[in-house]
Amino acid sequence: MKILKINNNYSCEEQPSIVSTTLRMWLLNDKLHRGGGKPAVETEYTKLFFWRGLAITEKIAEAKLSIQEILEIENMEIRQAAMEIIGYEKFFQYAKEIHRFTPEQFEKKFPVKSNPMYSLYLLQTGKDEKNDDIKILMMNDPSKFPFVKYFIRVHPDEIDCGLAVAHSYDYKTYDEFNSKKFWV
Amino acid sequence: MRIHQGDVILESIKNIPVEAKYLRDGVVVRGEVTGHSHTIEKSKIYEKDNKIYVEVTEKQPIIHPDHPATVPIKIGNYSVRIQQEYFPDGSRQVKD
Repeated sequence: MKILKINNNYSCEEQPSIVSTTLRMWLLNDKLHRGGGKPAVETEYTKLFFWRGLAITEKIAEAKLSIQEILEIENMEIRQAAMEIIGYEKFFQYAKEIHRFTPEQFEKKFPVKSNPMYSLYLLQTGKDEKNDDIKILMMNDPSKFPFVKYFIRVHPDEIDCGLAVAHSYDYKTYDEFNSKKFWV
Repeated sequence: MRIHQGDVILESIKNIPVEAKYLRDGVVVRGEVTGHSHTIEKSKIYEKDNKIYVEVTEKQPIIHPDHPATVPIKIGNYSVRIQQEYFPDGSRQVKD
């Protein structure tokens, strides 16, 4: 093990600052990535945090930033990563519902006016790193009681809840998604 | 016929592709984040081209810790669809 430090910071341009035999790296689809607030690169002396290949701070990785702090992150990619880590549902005060839908068979459980089975939201927190809108689909799962809401990000072109949920399972239409189906 | 449990849909099919590779018994989809899996105990799980197939060998429910016990699933073959979430760098399976 060799370590080079300047002013107590790991720093050296001429040679590696750390040479370690205990290096551990977590990759997902060829990119450094690790969830759960844990480092994607570890040696005995360092911990580095990555989210889908993007270097992030420990505070972002551990979801310790406030909503306001996240919204103030200037870098779009890092802000997007921080939002994913903390969970999109936390940003709903900054979201606008653009469509809601309850299939007929679930109207009693999920009255579309008060508690729809699906809602599609546009986050008004800025665009993502591709300059696309961030759209979130909220889903009530009818097979669970008490009912639980789930949130997933959907394609920025989605404008209809039924289609968005169908597309998320790789069906082309809502009818194809919903036909001959039992919820268990 | 289709069986929908959370982020997983089972679709009844006639046959599992002959080239499909046997993976394991029982666990249809592993919960990567929570560790909660969708399980059909008496079943064989296969994979071909990143698609999961299930051969149910006894009539029984699909089990998941977050879901109530289900109606029994009939003996037969099924293909599995897993919900995908959109990410700017490519969709990926919803993390259960």
